[in-house]
Amino acid sequence: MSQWQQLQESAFSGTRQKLRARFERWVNRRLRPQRRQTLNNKSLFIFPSKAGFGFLLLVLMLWLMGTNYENNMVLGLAFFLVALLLVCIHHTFFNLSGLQLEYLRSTPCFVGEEGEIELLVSCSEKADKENIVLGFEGGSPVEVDLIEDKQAVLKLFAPASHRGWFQPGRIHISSNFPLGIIRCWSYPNLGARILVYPKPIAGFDMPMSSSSEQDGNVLDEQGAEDFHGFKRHHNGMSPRHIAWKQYARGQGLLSKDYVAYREQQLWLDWDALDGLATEQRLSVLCYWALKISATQQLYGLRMPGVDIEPDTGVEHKHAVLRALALYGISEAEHD
Amino acid sequence: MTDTAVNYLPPRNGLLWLVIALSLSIVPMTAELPGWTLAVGLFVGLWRIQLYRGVWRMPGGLIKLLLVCVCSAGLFLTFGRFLALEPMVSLFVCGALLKLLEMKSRKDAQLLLYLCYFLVATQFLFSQGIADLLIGAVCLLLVTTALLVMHQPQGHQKPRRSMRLAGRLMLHSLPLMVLLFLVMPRIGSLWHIPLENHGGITGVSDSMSPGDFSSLSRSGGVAFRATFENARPRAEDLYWRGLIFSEFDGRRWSPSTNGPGTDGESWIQWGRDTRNGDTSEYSQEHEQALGRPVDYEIIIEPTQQPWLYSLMLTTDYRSATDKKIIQTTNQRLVADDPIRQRMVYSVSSSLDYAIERSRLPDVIRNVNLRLPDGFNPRARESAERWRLEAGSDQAYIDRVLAFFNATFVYTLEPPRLGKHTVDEFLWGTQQGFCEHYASSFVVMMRAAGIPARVVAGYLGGEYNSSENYYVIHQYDAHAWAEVWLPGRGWVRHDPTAAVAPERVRQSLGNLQASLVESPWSLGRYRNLAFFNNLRMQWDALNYRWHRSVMGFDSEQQSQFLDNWLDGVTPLKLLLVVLGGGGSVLVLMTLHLWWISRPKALAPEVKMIRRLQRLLARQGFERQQGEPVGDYLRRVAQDRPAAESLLMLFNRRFEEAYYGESELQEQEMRRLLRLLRRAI
Repeated sequence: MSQWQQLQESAFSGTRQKLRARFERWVNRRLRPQRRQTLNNKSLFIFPSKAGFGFLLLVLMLWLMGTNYENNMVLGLAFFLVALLLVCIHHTFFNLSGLQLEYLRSTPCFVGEEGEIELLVSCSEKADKENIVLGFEGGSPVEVDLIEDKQAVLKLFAPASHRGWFQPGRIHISSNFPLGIIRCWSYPNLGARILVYPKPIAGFDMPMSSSSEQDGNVLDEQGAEDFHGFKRHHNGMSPRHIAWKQYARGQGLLSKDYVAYREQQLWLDWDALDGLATEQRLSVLCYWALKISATQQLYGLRMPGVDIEPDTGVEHKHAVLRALALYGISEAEHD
Repeated sequence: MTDTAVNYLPPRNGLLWLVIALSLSIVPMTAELPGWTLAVGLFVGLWRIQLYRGVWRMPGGLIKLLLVCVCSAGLFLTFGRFLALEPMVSLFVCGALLKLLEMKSRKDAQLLLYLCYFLVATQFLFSQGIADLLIGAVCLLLVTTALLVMHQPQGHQKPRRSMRLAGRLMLHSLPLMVLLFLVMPRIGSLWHIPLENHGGITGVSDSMSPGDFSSLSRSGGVAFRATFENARPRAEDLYWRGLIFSEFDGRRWSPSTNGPGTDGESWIQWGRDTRNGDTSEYSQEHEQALGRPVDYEIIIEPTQQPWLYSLMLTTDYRSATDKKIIQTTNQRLVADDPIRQRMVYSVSSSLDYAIERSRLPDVIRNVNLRLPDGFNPRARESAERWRLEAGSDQAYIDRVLAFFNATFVYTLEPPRLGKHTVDEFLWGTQQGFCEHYASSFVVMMRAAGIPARVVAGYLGGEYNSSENYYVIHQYDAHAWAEVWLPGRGWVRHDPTAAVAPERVRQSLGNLQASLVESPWSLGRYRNLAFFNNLRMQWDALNYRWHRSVMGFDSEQQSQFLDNWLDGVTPLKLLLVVLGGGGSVLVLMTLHLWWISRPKALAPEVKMIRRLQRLLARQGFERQQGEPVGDYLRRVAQDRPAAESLLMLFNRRFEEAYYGESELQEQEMRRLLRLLRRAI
């Protein structure tokens, strides 16, 4: 960046910020968040695109050419292109107008990842909607068209920067169909929110404390792996476990008995991370919660105000992560 | 949000459309482009196709540089200058082709398609017939389709659908365009751009040697069209005068250059200004119009020459454009600038006239008696003898014409002549075209001491009854003679008529269509009634087009608006533009709105909305994303009295919403009424 540009930047940044804030206030007043929205003349903006100004330049050149050569056909062409531009305003506008957007659901993510929002885009049976680009600010845009199917489920991504409930805010939706010379756009807010888990951080010891009331030597007889001994076989036992060798030796129909040693129950403990900052503690807890979940071990979470009993499974994992994500954040704050 | 990522690359079949659109915008101009541009075009096209197939890569810098060099060198060598139409068009075409080769993004494609629109406009600079309009319209459709496809989603392009869409866009814009065309003010040339000679048929040229006219008669094409306001003159009066040749060097006839005022070639001195139509003292005494004048309008095709055509004797004339017309002392009309575009002018001519009846100025007499020494000795000798034998000028003229009539043959393919053209023709070949007869006749006159000159122009024309006008073709080009006789002034004599009288009454096209028309022109088959009719209708259509649309200038415009609006005021114009344009747009908007209006809500959803509004007034807002069941249960906890009603309402809603049973509209309505009271 040149010095002059820097100077400009500093000179105008204040004004620009002020203008931007004003614009945001205006847009917020005009376009209120709503789960389900239909784009219409109240929410759509329209203006010639950059290419549209190029087109106007072309028209001007043709008009000059037609005027100077006194050639009515060239003049006619210039007028035709003007008419085409005017007609395009309407076609571009109605390509977006009547489009319905509905927020369906969001998928949680970790800080630093892109959160995923699912939305339903639909329009009336008779209308074709073509070449519509939509996305969150900072996220990668998606192209959609409703030609054969009049509805489509879209996944939009937005980078999640902080833990807790993340609101990706306004969707930037725009289209320059049909000729690229007019651009129509809107910033609908569907009120979508994404649960953002803390960013997992490795490199710390497992912040655990053993459970006091159980010794961890309990045998779990279902779905076990380690061979333990023989049992007399009776109906209902798995035929795969029949000890055919023993049967052949005439020891009768025995069944192999397997057990799994349930490991010591783990408690991921907030207090085990003394000396770390809140966010860092959450990140470390998150890392270990994910790590342990992968091993099918039972674990619980203990934090100030949070006590999740040891368990395993996907539901449990999400409950733990949700607790980590919302630590210190009142759930109602964003509801 | 940067949508460059999505929009960066042009769609694949968009490229195909682009190539088609570009080549079709260039093809109609191939005649005006140097041959090497075609080679460049083919090269670029090949490369693009190979790129499309994924066989070749994008061209490297070296190849691009090489192409730029080839194009610049080509332009420089072909034209040597740049500030003219043809080199500019070639430059544009080269630019478009090179851009096509290096095109990568959608932005490039957009620019290229703008260039295509521009190329279509340049097509219109070269010619403006109805055929050009149709070709142009097809080009526009293709360019617009290509532009559309560039902005259509990748997977959904169907060529016919895209074309239909583009066609619809164009149809929608048509009424607005017509309106703009009618009311947008014409301001006339802002600055002068020289239109260089591009193609166009020169027609009658500024000199005449044997063979010129017979070759001209084969060049085909239209020289000009003429409409008579009242009665049509007789066919034998339709001698369209263009040029006068007084100077003869033994082979070539050319206009006199013998000092100012002698032969009117220095028309600036002797000319009359068109605007005030003043007739100077000089012209009044030397020109006398007898009889009532005929009024006619001429639309002349570009000739790249300044002279205009009119019937003898022009009494009044007016240019329809801002081009100036000047009348010379020898009664010709000349524009102040070569005619590079179709031009319209109207003339009044008196077909009965007397010019310089009483006295021929000596300078003019001398010029029109001069013959080069050492040429045509036999003709000069015979002329002197015959004049003596004849006794009077008129008898001598009759004798010469009778001589022609006896044994001469009128042919489009005369044998070549040597040094003494007139001698060889008169006593040797005796086969010739109009220029041979005119030339030898004038030489014979001058040799006998009668002032005479060759007049070049057109004879007759083809009458088109459907639009009441004459088409004068290039093959109607003709040369004849004017002879000065004491007491009568300049008198027209057409020696060709003595040989082939049918030529005067009929166009050469009718007499020898197979010789003068190209095999693929309809005119060749004019003996077949159907084709001839078709040809006439087509020409009439073109004529109408030129008169009404192409000739729609600021004057016609103000006249039209005056008639239409009963007096033009800015307010009325504004109303027309807003009202006319507005109503077109409103209709289109209504249609678009109708097809894209949002789906109606299902009746059960409407019901639930009504309940929601009812509950919201009581302070129970439904929260974002809250399922209906949860919401109603939440309300029920607060208002136990309404619990059963709410639950029933919820059940009916769910049954209808999930299609388990028909919507119980009556019941839900009743529930809603009850709920209103219960809450």
